Amino acid sequence: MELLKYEFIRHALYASVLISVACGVIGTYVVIKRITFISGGISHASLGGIGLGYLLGVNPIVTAIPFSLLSAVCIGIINRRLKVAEDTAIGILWTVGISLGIIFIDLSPGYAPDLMSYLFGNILTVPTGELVVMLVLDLIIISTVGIFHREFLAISFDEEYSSAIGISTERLYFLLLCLIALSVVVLIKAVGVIMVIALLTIPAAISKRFTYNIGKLFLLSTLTGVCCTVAGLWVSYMLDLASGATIVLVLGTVFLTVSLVKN
Amino acid sequence: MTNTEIVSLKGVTVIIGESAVLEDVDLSIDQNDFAAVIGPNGSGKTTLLKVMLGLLTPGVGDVKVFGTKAAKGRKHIGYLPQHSSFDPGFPISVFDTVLMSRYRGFMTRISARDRTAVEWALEKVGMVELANRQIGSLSDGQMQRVFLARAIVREPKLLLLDEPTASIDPEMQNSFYELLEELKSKMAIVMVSHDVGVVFAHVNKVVCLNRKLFYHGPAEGAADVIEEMYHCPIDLIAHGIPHRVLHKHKQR
Ligand SMILES: Nc1ncnc2c1ncn2[C@@H]1O[C@H](COP(=O)(O)OP(=O)(O)OP(=O)(O)O)[C@@H](O)[C@H]1O
Ligand SMILES: [Mg+2]
Repeated sequence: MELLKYEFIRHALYASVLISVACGVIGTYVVIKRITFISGGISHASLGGIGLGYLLGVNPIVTAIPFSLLSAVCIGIINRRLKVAEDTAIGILWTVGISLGIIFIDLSPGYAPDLMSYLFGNILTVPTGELVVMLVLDLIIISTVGIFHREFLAISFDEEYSSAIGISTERLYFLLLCLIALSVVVLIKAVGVIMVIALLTIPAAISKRFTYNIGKLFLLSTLTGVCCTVAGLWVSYMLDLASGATIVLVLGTVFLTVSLVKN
Repeated sequence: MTNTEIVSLKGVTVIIGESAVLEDVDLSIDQNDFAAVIGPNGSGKTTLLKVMLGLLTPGVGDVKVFGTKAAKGRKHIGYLPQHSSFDPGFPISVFDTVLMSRYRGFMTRISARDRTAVEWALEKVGMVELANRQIGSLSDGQMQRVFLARAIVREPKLLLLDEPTASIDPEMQNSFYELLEELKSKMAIVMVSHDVGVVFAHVNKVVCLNRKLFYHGPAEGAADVIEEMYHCPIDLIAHGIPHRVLHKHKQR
């Protein structure tokens, strides 16, 4: 408890909660709609946005927002409109985004401080400003899901049938991809662009073993997210390990344990 | 009671890839119709239903459903697809699967009325006991019943059924036709089926399809066309219809 006297620890705890809301809600859709790799594509592509931040001299988290939204829309368009296979679309976007990021950073004057924390995450260095950004993004995510929950559930279950009952399937799919893009931004500081998919999938995958009620799944995934990130944070602090990687390892261990026990 | 036209297809041609799947199809379905769509595999039956739903837009021709564009007619249509592709591990109960189908549009809430409708529909298909099961834990036939419930729960004015009796046991088939008899006073029904003999005892209109529309009218006149279309004699149809359920493989 005496750890709480440090501001960076308190910030890290706030960040854990904000992260978990995004991964609990959006991660649930990612898992049930089976779009893990699309999300992976969006998260890796957001490196382009981070590079852009360095180039323009603004906080990379801020430039990552429009950039990952753009990549979400692109991946949707490449896949749905140009009729390119989903995995191909992902492959293209993933690598183009990263390449843009590298070029932008190359072009930036001086060297890129903190680049590692965007790649691999560092939840111990979240300034107040970024907490506010995360909070706002969370609020956008929750309210959008609140409005479109029925539609999202239906298109996750069966897109063709959703169209047959009058849902604008494609538009909602694009909207869901945009929400994924926003959650990627929320999650970057915790585990970095490379490991964002871990947070988007593992908590929901763990919770899915305990319930098939979507509402409970949101809650349970969020709780799992909070517990695992806080535990990871604590372990990484005690053993002086990289926080992002430790969080992912804790999630992986819990998933494995739950899977074994549940079988 | 006036019998107004609710579906009208004029000169509809659907081309998928290189070949025409439907060619120059003219069809009309009235509000009191119970129509059977029959034809060999690959003859475009599923495609025809998808055109009515607006899931497929024909390259040529005019589609009107409830007097307007097909996509707008959807709110009055209940649909049972031939195949549904979904993840069997999907976290949803049978009840919620059917409830999902009560969707009425953007920002609409789930009401008590919706829940009653779901209970009614599950009761009709004999699935009340399994209402709380996870959807993927059902057998194929049970799943088919749930999807039938999902179609009728919309209280549609037009019910489109794509091979509804596939994988359903004989007992359920009987109650299924009873259910359709009950529903047909409230809605038009268009049903794809290979179960020609049974179906003919119930319908008032037959649509024979094999890329082109071969026949479209009362069941009595359909026999010759069907034989020609299937390239084999179909005894059960050649004799008296309706109200006679004949065995499919009649001995000679
Ligand atoms: N997505 C597609 N791509 C290419 N061809 C297609 C596609 N969908 C349907 N077809 C073709 O359209 C034709 C009609 O298909 P449809 O599914 O409407 O037949 P059907 O009458 O429902 O057959 P069945 O009795 O087997 O259900 C078939 O020849 C099929 O090969
Ligand atoms: Mg078919």
